[in-house]
Amino acid sequence: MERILAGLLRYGALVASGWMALGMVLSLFKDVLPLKTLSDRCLAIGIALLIALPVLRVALMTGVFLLEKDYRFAAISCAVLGIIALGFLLGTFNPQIQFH
Amino acid sequence: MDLGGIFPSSVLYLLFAAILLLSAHQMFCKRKAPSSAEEFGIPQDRWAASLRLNSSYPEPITKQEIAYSVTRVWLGMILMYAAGAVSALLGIGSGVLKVPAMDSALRLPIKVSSATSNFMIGVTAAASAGIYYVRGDVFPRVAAPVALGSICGAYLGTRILMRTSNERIRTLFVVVLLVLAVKMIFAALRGDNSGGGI
Repeated sequence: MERILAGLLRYGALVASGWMALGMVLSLFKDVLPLKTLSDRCLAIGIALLIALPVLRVALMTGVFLLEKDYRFAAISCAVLGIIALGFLLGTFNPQIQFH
Repeated sequence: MDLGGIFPSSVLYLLFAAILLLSAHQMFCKRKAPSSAEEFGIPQDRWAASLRLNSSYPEPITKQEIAYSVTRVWLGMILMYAAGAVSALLGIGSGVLKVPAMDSALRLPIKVSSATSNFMIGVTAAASAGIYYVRGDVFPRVAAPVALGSICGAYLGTRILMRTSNERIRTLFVVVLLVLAVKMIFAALRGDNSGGGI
């Protein structure tokens, strides 16, 4: 089970890098208009994947702990997810807070 | 260049530089120390046992499993909290504070603390990066090449970490801590709010 988690991070990083590299290559052909937006979208996909990977790993770990009926560690990783989600909500739904 | 009194940020930078120098000194003294807490004859930590923190890791050079046990978990929690708060306050990466904290307070092997710190910072950075991304503060044109370069560098660094001796890693870390301390002192003397891009 641990190998799946480790593989997720490693191959996920590879996939995200692939998207970003594709986006960077496409951005070389800026003059062709459809390719410009396409390259921007590819870059955005890669970056979003990269950001989501560690959070996904914590979520998977919570699931694994629940499957193994290890409730203490499941609670701990669930708490981590909760803290991340709380920060996320505070950031998106509270535009008065300025992040520098 | 006019100091114009002690700004609060200057005091923070000086304090941080002091912490960095102290950490560098601690790590320097520990270079040749035994890497296991059992060799000190320290009794098992109750929290470490209940949280199952004691484990082992394979050492590629000698090809054997090295067991380690964790002590003073409460001190580790306090230090991790302080590291996170200080790094958020000053805009500096928290790995610089977390690795010495794990190395000295929890007495983890240096490779374990380095890898753990990497993972911890990945999660926290992902959390804050997600917030910035949804707010639209991330420029993909700039972020993507930086991210690609960082991924390649981190991959190579991890490979090198597995093959390097503990002593060399500690020495390298001491050098990095000293350089950062000097940068912090310069930032304090400059009196402005920038961290100098650390």
